[in-house]
Amino acid sequence: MLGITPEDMLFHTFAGIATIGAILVVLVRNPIYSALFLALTMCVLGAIFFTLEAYFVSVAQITVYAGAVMVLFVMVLMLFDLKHEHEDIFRITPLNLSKILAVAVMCGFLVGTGWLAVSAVNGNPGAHVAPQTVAQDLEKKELPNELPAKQTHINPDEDFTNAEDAALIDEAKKEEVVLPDPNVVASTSDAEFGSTVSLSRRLFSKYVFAFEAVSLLLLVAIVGAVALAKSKGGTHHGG
Amino acid sequence: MAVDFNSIIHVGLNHYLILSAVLFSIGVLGVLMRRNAIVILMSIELMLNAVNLVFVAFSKYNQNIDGQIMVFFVMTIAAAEAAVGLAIAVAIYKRFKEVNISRFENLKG
Repeated sequence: MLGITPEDMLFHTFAGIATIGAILVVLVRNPIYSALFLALTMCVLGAIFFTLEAYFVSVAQITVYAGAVMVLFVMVLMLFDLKHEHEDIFRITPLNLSKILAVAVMCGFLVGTGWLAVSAVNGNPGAHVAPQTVAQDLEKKELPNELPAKQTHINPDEDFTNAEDAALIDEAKKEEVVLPDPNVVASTSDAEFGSTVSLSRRLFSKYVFAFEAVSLLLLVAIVGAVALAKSKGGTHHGG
Repeated sequence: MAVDFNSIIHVGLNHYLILSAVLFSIGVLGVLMRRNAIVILMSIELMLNAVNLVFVAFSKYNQNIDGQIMVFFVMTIAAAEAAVGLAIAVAIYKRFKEVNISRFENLKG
């Protein structure tokens, strides 16, 4: 029975556009057109993120990648005059054929690995994994530890160390709190999943050190980029 | 094994993994085959995007938001890498009037 849902149609459309755009990035001779096709691919990937309920990531993808990074690429391309460049990727040479073959083999390995991993989780090769079933499985596994925490604190995304967890479990035992229905917990976490609130809460609690480290890295990258661009061609050739 | 048409049409986690593998492979192909440094940087961005897709897909199917946070870090690293890489390309262009990667073997000092 073939019931094609709108989600399926959206995914197949976006996947087709993204793949064609990516192929054109590599094949088109003019780098400006490559940049534009890359922007298209990134926008479509942002749309796929949207269908995956990663709303904030989707917006960030479009603003940061399709916006800022692509503007950077196009600006740099504008500085160059690359009309006289010729490349030999369109000639059929043994080297080019071996590169294509190697990449095809790698692609096959990647696809096979993904397929096997999913079917190992699922127990049924090729069948599609319903998000709810996986989520419910996870909820069931985690319930003994998570439930007291979830009941005393409303937000399920907050982190608890083991000590806190144990303390909370003890509290729950002392007070003989009635555990809530697992389905209720699952539905509330579904409602909050992917929201900007839960994302930022996790980012600024568990990953706050990584966040700061990344800000330092960005500073270093800015300084490095300015220093490199100001140098008069950082090579020893010709003096 | 007969191909189950239903499992091809209905989108699951493996669809996202396959799309991501295809995009990543195209990126690798671009890095291997193109000689223009800027197109190579674009191919690297393509590969990073493919990885982001895997992160978001696993994040959804495991209902674990950590994957989406990794996507932010990947985006940040990608932006920094693009800035530095393009600065190097500008430096190369200033000297040789082209951004062919065969010029990078002269990169020194």
